[in-house]
Amino acid sequence: MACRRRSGGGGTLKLHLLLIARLFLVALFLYAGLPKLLTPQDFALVVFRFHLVPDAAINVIALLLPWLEIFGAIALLLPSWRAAGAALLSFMLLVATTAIIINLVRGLDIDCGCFTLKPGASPIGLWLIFRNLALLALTLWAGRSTPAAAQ
Amino acid sequence: MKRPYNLLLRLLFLLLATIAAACTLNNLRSDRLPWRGDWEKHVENRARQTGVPLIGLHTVRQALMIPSTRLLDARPTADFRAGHIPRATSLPIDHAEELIAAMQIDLQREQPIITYCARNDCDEGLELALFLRRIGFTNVTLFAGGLTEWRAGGEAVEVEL
Repeated sequence: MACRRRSGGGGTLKLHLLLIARLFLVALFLYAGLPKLLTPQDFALVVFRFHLVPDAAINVIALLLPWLEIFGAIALLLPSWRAAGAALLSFMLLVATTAIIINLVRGLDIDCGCFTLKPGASPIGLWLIFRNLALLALTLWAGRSTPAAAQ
Repeated sequence: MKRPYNLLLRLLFLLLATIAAACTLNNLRSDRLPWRGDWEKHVENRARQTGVPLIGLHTVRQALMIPSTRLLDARPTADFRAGHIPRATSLPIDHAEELIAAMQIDLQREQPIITYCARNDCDEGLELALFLRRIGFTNVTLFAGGLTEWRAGGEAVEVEL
Protein backbone atom coordinates (compact mmCIF):
# COMPACT_ATOMS: atom_id res chain seq x y z
CA MET A 1 0.00 0.00 0.00
CA ALA A 2 2.78 2.38 1.05
CA CYS A 3 4.60 1.66 -2.20
CA ARG A 4 1.51 2.35 -4.25
CA ARG A 5 0.94 5.67 -2.43
CA ARG A 6 4.52 6.81 -3.12
CA SER A 7 4.17 5.97 -6.77
CA GLY A 8 0.90 7.91 -7.02
CA GLY A 9 2.52 10.98 -5.38
CA GLY A 10 5.42 10.85 -7.85
CA GLY A 11 2.98 10.58 -10.73
CA THR A 12 1.01 13.58 -9.53
CA LEU A 13 4.19 15.62 -9.12
CA LYS A 14 5.26 14.66 -12.62
CA LEU A 15 1.84 15.62 -13.94
CA HIS A 16 2.10 19.03 -12.26
CA LEU A 17 5.63 19.57 -13.56
CA LEU A 18 4.50 18.65 -17.08
CA LEU A 19 1.61 21.09 -16.81
CA ILE A 20 3.91 23.90 -15.58
CA ALA A 21 6.42 23.15 -18.37
CA ARG A 22 3.67 23.24 -21.00
CA LEU A 23 2.17 26.47 -19.70
CA PHE A 24 5.64 28.03 -19.55
CA LEU A 25 6.39 26.99 -23.15
CA VAL A 26 3.00 28.18 -24.40
CA ALA A 27 3.53 31.60 -22.78
CA LEU A 28 7.11 31.73 -24.09
CA PHE A 29 6.26 30.90 -27.71
CA LEU A 30 3.25 33.23 -27.74
CA TYR A 31 5.51 35.96 -26.34
CA ALA A 32 8.06 35.14 -29.06
CA GLY A 33 5.53 35.01 -31.87
CA LEU A 34 3.48 38.14 -31.19
CA PRO A 35 6.10 40.86 -31.92
CA LYS A 36 6.98 39.08 -35.18
CA LEU A 37 3.32 38.88 -36.09
CA LEU A 38 2.69 42.56 -35.35
CA THR A 39 5.74 43.92 -37.23
CA PRO A 40 6.59 41.48 -40.07
CA GLN A 41 8.72 44.15 -41.76
CA ASP A 42 11.06 44.29 -38.75
CA PHE A 43 11.17 40.51 -38.53
CA ALA A 44 11.95 40.22 -42.26
CA LEU A 45 14.94 42.50 -41.64
CA VAL A 46 16.13 40.17 -38.86
CA VAL A 47 15.84 37.18 -41.23
CA PHE A 48 17.68 39.14 -43.94
CA ARG A 49 20.56 39.94 -41.57
CA PHE A 50 21.11 36.24 -40.88
CA HIS A 51 22.18 35.91 -44.54
CA LEU A 52 21.17 32.26 -44.65
CA VAL A 53 18.16 32.03 -46.93
CA PRO A 54 17.63 33.13 -50.53
CA ASP A 55 16.15 36.63 -50.91
CA ALA A 56 12.91 35.14 -52.26
CA ALA A 57 12.37 33.21 -49.01
CA ILE A 58 12.92 36.07 -46.54
CA ASN A 59 9.39 37.51 -46.55
CA VAL A 60 7.80 34.06 -46.70
CA ILE A 61 9.65 33.08 -43.54
CA ALA A 62 8.81 36.41 -41.87
CA LEU A 63 5.12 35.90 -42.58
CA LEU A 64 4.85 32.19 -41.70
CA LEU A 65 7.19 31.70 -38.76
CA PRO A 66 5.24 33.72 -36.16
CA TRP A 67 2.10 31.70 -36.88
CA LEU A 68 4.07 28.45 -36.66
CA GLU A 69 5.22 29.53 -33.19
CA ILE A 70 1.70 30.48 -32.14
CA PHE A 71 -0.03 27.37 -33.51
CA GLY A 72 2.78 25.16 -32.15
CA ALA A 73 2.25 26.69 -28.71
CA ILE A 74 -1.52 26.26 -28.83
CA ALA A 75 -1.14 22.65 -30.02
CA LEU A 76 1.02 21.96 -26.97
CA LEU A 77 -2.04 22.61 -24.80
CA LEU A 78 -4.30 20.13 -26.59
CA PRO A 79 -3.64 16.46 -25.65
CA SER A 80 -4.21 14.97 -29.11
CA TRP A 81 -2.16 17.73 -30.79
CA ARG A 82 0.62 17.87 -28.22
CA ALA A 83 3.13 15.65 -30.07
CA ALA A 84 2.69 17.64 -33.29
CA GLY A 85 3.10 20.95 -31.45
CA ALA A 86 6.23 19.73 -29.69
CA ALA A 87 7.67 18.34 -32.94
CA LEU A 88 7.05 21.65 -34.72
CA LEU A 89 8.50 23.80 -31.93
CA SER A 90 11.52 21.48 -31.53
CA PHE A 91 12.23 21.66 -35.25
CA MET A 92 12.05 25.46 -35.14
CA LEU A 93 14.37 25.60 -32.12
CA LEU A 94 16.85 23.34 -33.93
CA VAL A 95 16.79 25.50 -37.07
CA ALA A 96 17.16 28.73 -35.05
CA THR A 97 20.06 27.29 -33.04
CA THR A 98 21.84 26.14 -36.21
CA ALA A 99 21.38 29.60 -37.74
CA ILE A 100 22.87 31.23 -34.62
CA ILE A 101 25.84 28.82 -34.61
CA ILE A 102 26.57 29.48 -38.31
CA ASN A 103 26.55 33.25 -37.78
CA LEU A 104 28.65 33.02 -34.63
CA VAL A 105 31.22 31.06 -36.63
CA ARG A 106 31.03 33.69 -39.37
CA GLY A 107 31.62 36.35 -36.70
CA LEU A 108 28.51 38.35 -37.62
CA ASP A 109 27.26 40.65 -34.91
CA ILE A 110 23.51 40.42 -35.49
CA ASP A 111 20.34 40.31 -33.42
CA CYS A 112 18.69 37.01 -32.61
CA GLY A 113 15.19 38.49 -33.02
CA CYS A 114 13.92 35.72 -30.76
CA PHE A 115 11.71 37.72 -28.39
CA THR A 116 12.26 41.32 -29.38
CA LEU A 117 12.88 42.95 -32.75
CA LYS A 118 14.43 46.10 -31.28
CA PRO A 119 17.84 46.57 -32.95
CA GLY A 120 20.74 45.71 -30.65
CA ALA A 121 18.47 44.32 -27.93
CA SER A 122 19.31 40.63 -28.35
CA PRO A 123 22.71 40.05 -29.96
CA ILE A 124 23.52 36.43 -30.77
CA GLY A 125 25.97 34.71 -28.43
CA LEU A 126 26.98 31.38 -26.97
CA TRP A 127 24.44 31.57 -24.16
CA LEU A 128 21.63 31.63 -26.73
CA ILE A 129 22.75 28.22 -27.94
CA PHE A 130 22.60 26.82 -24.40
CA ARG A 131 19.25 28.50 -23.79
CA ASN A 132 17.81 27.04 -27.00
CA LEU A 133 19.14 23.57 -26.21
CA ALA A 134 17.54 23.75 -22.75
CA LEU A 135 14.27 24.88 -24.36
CA LEU A 136 14.56 22.05 -26.88
CA ALA A 137 14.95 19.48 -24.08
CA LEU A 138 11.99 21.00 -22.22
CA THR A 139 9.84 21.01 -25.36
CA LEU A 140 10.61 17.37 -26.10
CA TRP A 141 9.78 16.43 -22.51
CA ALA A 142 6.61 18.52 -22.41
CA GLY A 143 5.48 17.00 -25.69
CA ARG A 144 5.34 13.50 -24.23
CA SER A 145 1.89 12.12 -23.61
CA THR A 146 0.81 12.41 -19.97
CA PRO A 147 1.52 9.16 -18.08
CA ALA A 148 -1.70 7.16 -17.72
CA ALA A 149 -0.83 6.18 -14.13
CA ALA A 150 -0.78 9.80 -13.11
CA GLN A 151 -4.18 10.62 -14.56
CA MET B 1 2.04 2.62 -37.69
CA LYS B 2 -0.97 4.81 -36.89
CA ARG B 3 0.89 7.25 -34.59
CA PRO B 4 3.50 8.56 -37.05
CA TYR B 5 0.76 8.90 -39.66
CA ASN B 6 -1.39 10.91 -37.23
CA LEU B 7 1.60 13.07 -36.31
CA LEU B 8 2.36 13.85 -39.96
CA LEU B 9 -1.30 14.60 -40.63
CA ARG B 10 -1.44 17.02 -37.70
CA LEU B 11 1.81 18.69 -38.74
CA LEU B 12 0.40 19.14 -42.23
CA PHE B 13 -2.76 20.65 -40.76
CA LEU B 14 -0.72 23.07 -38.62
CA LEU B 15 1.21 24.12 -41.71
CA LEU B 16 -1.98 24.71 -43.71
CA ALA B 17 -3.53 26.65 -40.82
CA THR B 18 -0.33 28.73 -40.65
CA ILE B 19 -0.48 29.56 -44.36
CA ALA B 20 -4.17 30.45 -44.14
CA ALA B 21 -3.70 32.64 -41.06
CA ALA B 22 -0.62 34.38 -42.50
CA CYS B 23 -2.39 35.11 -45.82
CA THR B 24 -5.52 36.39 -44.09
CA LEU B 25 -3.76 38.66 -41.59
CA ASN B 26 -1.31 39.99 -44.17
CA ASN B 27 -4.15 40.84 -46.57
CA LEU B 28 -5.97 42.71 -43.81
CA ARG B 29 -2.94 44.89 -43.02
CA SER B 30 -2.64 48.34 -44.52
CA ASP B 31 1.17 47.95 -44.51
CA ARG B 32 1.13 44.40 -45.90
CA LEU B 33 4.44 42.70 -46.57
CA PRO B 34 4.82 41.36 -50.12
CA TRP B 35 5.45 37.61 -50.18
CA ARG B 36 8.49 38.23 -52.31
CA GLY B 37 10.61 41.20 -51.31
CA ASP B 38 13.35 42.95 -53.26
CA TRP B 39 16.09 42.15 -50.75
CA GLU B 40 18.87 42.20 -53.33
CA LYS B 41 18.41 45.96 -53.58
CA HIS B 42 17.25 46.38 -50.01
CA VAL B 43 20.12 48.56 -48.85
CA GLU B 44 20.11 50.80 -51.95
CA ASN B 45 16.31 51.13 -51.83
CA ARG B 46 16.35 52.05 -48.16
CA ALA B 47 19.14 54.55 -48.71
CA ARG B 48 17.06 56.23 -51.43
CA GLN B 49 13.96 56.24 -49.24
CA THR B 50 15.83 57.76 -46.32
CA GLY B 51 17.71 60.27 -48.44
CA VAL B 52 21.22 58.90 -47.94
CA PRO B 53 23.25 59.62 -51.12
CA LEU B 54 24.77 56.52 -52.70
CA ILE B 55 28.20 56.62 -54.28
CA GLY B 56 30.11 54.11 -56.39
CA LEU B 57 33.72 52.97 -56.53
CA HIS B 58 34.83 55.74 -58.89
CA THR B 59 33.48 58.46 -56.57
CA VAL B 60 35.09 56.81 -53.55
CA ARG B 61 38.46 56.79 -55.32
CA GLN B 62 38.10 60.49 -56.12
CA ALA B 63 36.83 61.39 -52.65
CA LEU B 64 39.79 59.69 -51.03
CA MET B 65 42.12 62.08 -52.86
CA ILE B 66 40.62 64.88 -50.75
CA PRO B 67 42.40 64.82 -47.38
CA SER B 68 39.38 65.98 -45.37
CA THR B 69 37.21 63.03 -46.50
CA ARG B 70 36.66 60.48 -43.74
CA LEU B 71 35.96 56.88 -44.64
CA LEU B 72 34.19 54.93 -41.88
CA ASP B 73 34.06 51.14 -41.75
CA ALA B 74 30.85 50.07 -39.98
CA ARG B 75 31.76 46.38 -39.65
CA PRO B 76 32.86 44.68 -36.40
CA THR B 77 36.45 45.52 -35.39
CA ALA B 78 37.71 41.99 -36.12
CA ASP B 79 36.51 42.26 -39.73
CA PHE B 80 38.12 45.69 -40.03
CA ARG B 81 41.45 44.31 -38.81
CA ALA B 82 41.26 41.42 -41.28
CA GLY B 83 41.10 43.86 -44.20
CA HIS B 84 39.73 47.33 -44.90
CA ILE B 85 39.89 50.15 -47.42
CA PRO B 86 43.09 52.20 -46.90
CA ARG B 87 42.58 55.37 -44.81
CA ALA B 88 39.38 53.98 -43.33
CA THR B 89 38.61 54.31 -39.62
CA SER B 90 36.81 51.56 -37.75
CA LEU B 91 33.46 52.66 -36.33
CA PRO B 92 31.37 49.51 -35.74
CA ILE B 93 27.70 50.40 -35.82
CA ASP B 94 27.08 48.61 -32.51
CA HIS B 95 29.54 50.91 -30.71
CA ALA B 96 29.17 54.08 -32.80
CA GLU B 97 27.13 55.95 -30.21
CA GLU B 98 29.54 55.32 -27.33
CA LEU B 99 32.68 55.93 -29.44
CA ILE B 100 31.39 59.25 -30.72
CA ALA B 101 30.09 60.27 -27.29
CA ALA B 102 33.51 59.46 -25.82
CA MET B 103 35.09 61.64 -28.56
CA GLN B 104 37.30 58.72 -29.54
CA ILE B 105 36.50 59.42 -33.19
CA ASP B 106 37.33 62.95 -34.28
CA LEU B 107 34.73 64.08 -36.82
CA GLN B 108 33.57 67.53 -37.90
CA ARG B 109 29.86 68.14 -38.58
CA GLU B 110 30.31 69.31 -42.19
CA GLN B 111 33.20 67.00 -43.04
CA PRO B 112 32.61 64.68 -46.05
CA ILE B 113 32.01 61.21 -44.58
CA ILE B 114 31.68 57.94 -46.50
CA THR B 115 30.40 54.86 -44.72
CA TYR B 116 30.66 51.28 -45.93
CA CYS B 117 30.45 47.65 -44.79
CA ALA B 118 31.22 44.29 -46.41
CA ARG B 119 29.05 44.32 -49.55
CA ASN B 120 25.74 45.50 -50.94
CA ASP B 121 23.63 43.10 -48.86
CA CYS B 122 24.94 44.29 -45.50
CA ASP B 123 23.30 47.27 -43.91
CA GLU B 124 25.74 48.33 -41.18
CA GLY B 125 27.10 51.06 -43.49
CA LEU B 126 23.61 52.43 -44.07
CA GLU B 127 22.74 52.22 -40.38
CA LEU B 128 25.91 54.15 -39.55
CA ALA B 129 25.12 56.80 -42.18
CA LEU B 130 21.59 57.18 -40.81
CA PHE B 131 22.90 57.41 -37.25
CA LEU B 132 25.46 60.10 -38.17
CA ARG B 133 22.80 62.13 -39.98
CA ARG B 134 20.50 61.80 -36.98
CA ILE B 135 23.10 63.29 -34.65
CA GLY B 136 23.84 66.22 -36.94
CA PHE B 137 26.43 65.23 -39.55
CA THR B 138 25.34 66.82 -42.81
CA ASN B 139 27.63 65.40 -45.48
CA VAL B 140 27.31 61.62 -45.13
CA THR B 141 27.26 59.29 -48.15
CA LEU B 142 27.10 55.51 -48.47
CA PHE B 143 29.40 53.30 -50.50
CA ALA B 144 26.89 50.43 -50.76
CA GLY B 145 29.18 48.05 -52.65
CA GLY B 146 31.57 48.14 -49.69
CA LEU B 147 34.76 46.18 -49.39
CA THR B 148 33.65 43.58 -51.95
CA GLU B 149 33.24 46.20 -54.69
CA TRP B 150 36.50 47.86 -53.63
CA ARG B 151 38.36 44.55 -53.99
CA ALA B 152 36.56 43.71 -57.25
CA GLY B 153 37.79 47.02 -58.62
CA GLY B 154 41.35 45.80 -58.12
CA GLU B 155 42.07 48.16 -55.23
CA ALA B 156 44.47 47.38 -52.40
CA VAL B 157 43.26 46.43 -48.94
CA GLU B 158 44.98 47.29 -45.68
CA VAL B 159 45.35 44.64 -43.00
CA GLU B 160 45.92 45.50 -39.32
CA LEU B 161 48.51 43.32 -37.64
